[in-house]
Amino acid sequence: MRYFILILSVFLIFAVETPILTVAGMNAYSVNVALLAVIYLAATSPPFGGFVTAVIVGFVADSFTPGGILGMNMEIMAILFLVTRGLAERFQVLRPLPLVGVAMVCSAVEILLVFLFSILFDRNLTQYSSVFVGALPQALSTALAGLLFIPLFRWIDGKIRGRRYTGSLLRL
Amino acid sequence: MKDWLYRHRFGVSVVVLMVLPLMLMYLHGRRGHGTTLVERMAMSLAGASQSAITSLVGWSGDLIQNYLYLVDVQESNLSLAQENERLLGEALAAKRLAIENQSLRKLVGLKTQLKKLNKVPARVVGRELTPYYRVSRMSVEAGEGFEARKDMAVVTHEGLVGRVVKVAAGYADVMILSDSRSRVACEVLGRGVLGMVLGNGLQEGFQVRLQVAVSEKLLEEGAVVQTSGHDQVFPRGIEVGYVAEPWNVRQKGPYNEYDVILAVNPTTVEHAMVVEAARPDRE
Repeated sequence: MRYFILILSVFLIFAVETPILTVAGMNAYSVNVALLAVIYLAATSPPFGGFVTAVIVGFVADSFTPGGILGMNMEIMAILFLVTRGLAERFQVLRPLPLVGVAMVCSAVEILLVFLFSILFDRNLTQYSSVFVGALPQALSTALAGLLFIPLFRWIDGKIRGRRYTGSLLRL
Repeated sequence: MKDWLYRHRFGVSVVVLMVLPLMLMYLHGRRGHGTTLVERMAMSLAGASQSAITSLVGWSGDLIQNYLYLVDVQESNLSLAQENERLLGEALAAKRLAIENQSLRKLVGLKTQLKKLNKVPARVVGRELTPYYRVSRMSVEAGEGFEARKDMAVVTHEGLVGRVVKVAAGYADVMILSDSRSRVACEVLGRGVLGMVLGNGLQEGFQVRLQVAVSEKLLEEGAVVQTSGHDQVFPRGIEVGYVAEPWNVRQKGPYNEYDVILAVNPTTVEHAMVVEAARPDRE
């Protein structure tokens, strides 16, 4: 149930994001909600359920990425889940400062993976430098929006499970 | 076996769910593949929700705008509130009609301009959320004996928008000209110079690049670039854009590369036409 509600939340945020950003004229600053959801899942979920949900979140992201190759976000989210889970075992990645840092690192990894998969599966993508420059505002807005969206996911989680996720900065 | 699977479910899921997307990417990344069932499912699900929410946002925007306006009127002059409300309603209705009229006139104008082409209207329901692609999602109206297909051109009264790259369940993903993967065979109007327009991949700037052979004479500023039809995708004679700052021409191998400003600003497009090949009876 918890995973279903999280996937549904990500789906709705994606659906709402496009028209709102278009109205605001801020398409360049779109937030990668899937990435934030995966960071949250990696920090708060058991490995099996979290991993499967992360891949489904990737599928949702693929659905809302016109022009992309189906499966790319699924693969990226799977990899990012494993990376973030590794970090989450050592740090409290959901604290504000680590969260911004982890979101930036994950965005950077995502850009590199998009380029890698584009080279392997979609040879038509060119102009990597301009695409990379275009990806930076999104990485920044995603990192900052994490401060808003992670509490939202926590709140949703709290409503479902009746408890909140808390912990110290370092996991020893 | 069951016990083994249960004990190693995480490892098994990692292997399966890492290989599955790779297979999907291989399958969908190949050139010339049709729309698969998974793609149709993903597009129809996302397209329907985007379409509904785009309509809802437009409606809510109107509602909020009107409401705030009326509150302001009431505060400024209570005695004229009712009169203002009536006039405002009329004014907005008239404005809406005027915009609708203008939009329809433009579409009719487009039809006159491209009479030979079979086309159906389409409405933008979603734009790209990633910095990697410049692709819009459109809801395409069903036309009589017309079905939107991959590689069909998408135009407005101002010129070319892009091409359809994927179609499913009444929705079409349209790769706009500024996408870094976009290639359009073009000619410079009145000069007979042939070339290729390539996308820049830029999100905000609506410039593309025009490559022409170095043996051609240098182009002048404002030279109109239109489709040549040589790529067998876009019909000939659709305006693409105009040459900007030709003094900044760059040589790339056997080509000279010019900056071209697009005739259609893709961020402002709300309605467009999906164009089929030329009608045989008119040719």
